[in-house]
Amino acid sequence: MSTLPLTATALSQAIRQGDITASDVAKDCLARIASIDGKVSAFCETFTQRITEQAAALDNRKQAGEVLGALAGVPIASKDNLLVANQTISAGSRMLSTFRGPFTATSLARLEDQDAMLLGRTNMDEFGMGSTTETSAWQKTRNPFGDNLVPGGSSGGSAVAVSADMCPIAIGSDTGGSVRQPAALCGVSGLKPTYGRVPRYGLIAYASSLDCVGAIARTAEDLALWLDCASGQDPADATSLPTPPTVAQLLQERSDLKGVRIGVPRALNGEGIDEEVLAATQATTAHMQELGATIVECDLPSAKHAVPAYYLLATAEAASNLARYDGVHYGWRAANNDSSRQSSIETTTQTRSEGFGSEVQLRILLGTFASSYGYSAQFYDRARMARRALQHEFQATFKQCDALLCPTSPTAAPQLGDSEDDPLARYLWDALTVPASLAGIPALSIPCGNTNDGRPIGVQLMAPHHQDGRLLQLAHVFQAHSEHHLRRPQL
Amino acid sequence: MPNPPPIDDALLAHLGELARISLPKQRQAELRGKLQQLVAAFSSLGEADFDMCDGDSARQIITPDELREDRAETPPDVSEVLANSPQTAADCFVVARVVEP
Repeated sequence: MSTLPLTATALSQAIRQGDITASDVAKDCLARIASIDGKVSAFCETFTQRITEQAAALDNRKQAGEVLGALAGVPIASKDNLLVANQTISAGSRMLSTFRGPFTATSLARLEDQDAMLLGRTNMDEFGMGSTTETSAWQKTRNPFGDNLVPGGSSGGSAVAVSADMCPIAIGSDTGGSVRQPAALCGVSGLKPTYGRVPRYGLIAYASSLDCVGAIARTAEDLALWLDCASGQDPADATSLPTPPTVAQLLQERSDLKGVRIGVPRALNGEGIDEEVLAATQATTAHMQELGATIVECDLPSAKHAVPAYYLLATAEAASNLARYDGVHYGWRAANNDSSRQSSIETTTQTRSEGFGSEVQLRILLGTFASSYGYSAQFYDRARMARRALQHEFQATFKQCDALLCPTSPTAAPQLGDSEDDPLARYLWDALTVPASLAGIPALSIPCGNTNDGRPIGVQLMAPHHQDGRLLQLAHVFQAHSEHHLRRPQL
Repeated sequence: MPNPPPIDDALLAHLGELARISLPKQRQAELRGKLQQLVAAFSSLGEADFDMCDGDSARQIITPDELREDRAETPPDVSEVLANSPQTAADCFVVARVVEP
């Protein structure tokens, strides 16, 4: 049987039952990538030797009668900013072109502990700074629904890998929407868990008060399977949270949405959103109402400040986090013709100027400005207050409803190269995903329709802290009664 | 909306120096324009009423602090620490000159 269209849940079950082998799965994945990745450029590299050896070892253990883990033989791609021991990991940057992971990130090691197989690293915007995957130093990833369309970003490679059936689950990171938005644009499901739920040890930092490890899959059921395996406290990450009850079990407890109150914040469901996207979102709301949900209109007035607050805080944190790239400890080092005459400051400045791409340099300069003497009170401090106001408003809103709903992205996938020179237009494109990031609440995107010309549209659901399971439960019920998540690109 | 601060040549040069990023002449006008556009748009935060909302906004979920067990571990091997360094010599990082002759 062919293994690629299978979900991770079905795949691991088939391997545990002995219907297929892990080696078959690994071969199918590598063959699929070899045949179609040239069209979409989702992968920077496949871990061919690693996955082949892992698959053979799994098959041997299975033959020896061992009971395999929850992700038995599931091939999982990971974003190019999560460390894998002894593999090159570059965060999409020339700065880290020679960097090799000294250890495997906790969030990936936990998947391997459950017998998942790491398939390869996927392309991304440089250090996560972008919404189209175009700022990668290496290649332009293309949306499988149209080769002139962007896949979204910054986890664009991961979204494409799942959308194009190269693997059932791909890991990403979400600082301001980098899992949810590409998932929406590529017609797949993406989860940003509660801040801290999945440990970040081994994730190359962008903005530490916002960074979350997330995942992209075809179904909410697979996201639940992933979350149960990846979440829980890690002594190496002080911001990680204790392990909550299992999520996969919650999915079996509900078959409709009776009694669920879904809030529709006016600020995130009107101005600046394309008509086709709004229409698909409203159709989803109506469908959820048919399934028993109560729809509640609500306010989130500080949402209008979310983009300025996010971009001031994230860039200020990035300016600090990326200060480590000095050309001494690791990564790229630039040198002029006579490096012995160069001072330390000159070396560092030349290294950073040659190693970072233009978008990363712009964001570092913006963050340096926002947090510098004379300007921090007017910008950084005000952004912190806006974030606090938004957090208060989310708390108040969640007293009236169980989840919030809005489009994931104001538009479906745009063309490659659109708005490359207009940073403000690009940043405003994140207006619907950054509120959940600032509040640290769980949020996911699921497919809900498509435009007349066939581009996928995603709807976003948000829930209070720690309610990741409830969120996945809603998505699972919706997917049990709809087929948007089953639509596949023609490649 | 409060007047946004002007991003002039002097401020841009100061930011470049703080961030350790060189700003060649041919890029300055473009960068100044982009930063000015962003700073002007983000100045909208100045007009909002957030007086009741100060506090530790970065810490979103308050959980009891749990300290790791304090135990000695084997330090990494020198070769592991230096493995990703662009230049090494005699088991050390090679750094550029820090003291002017």
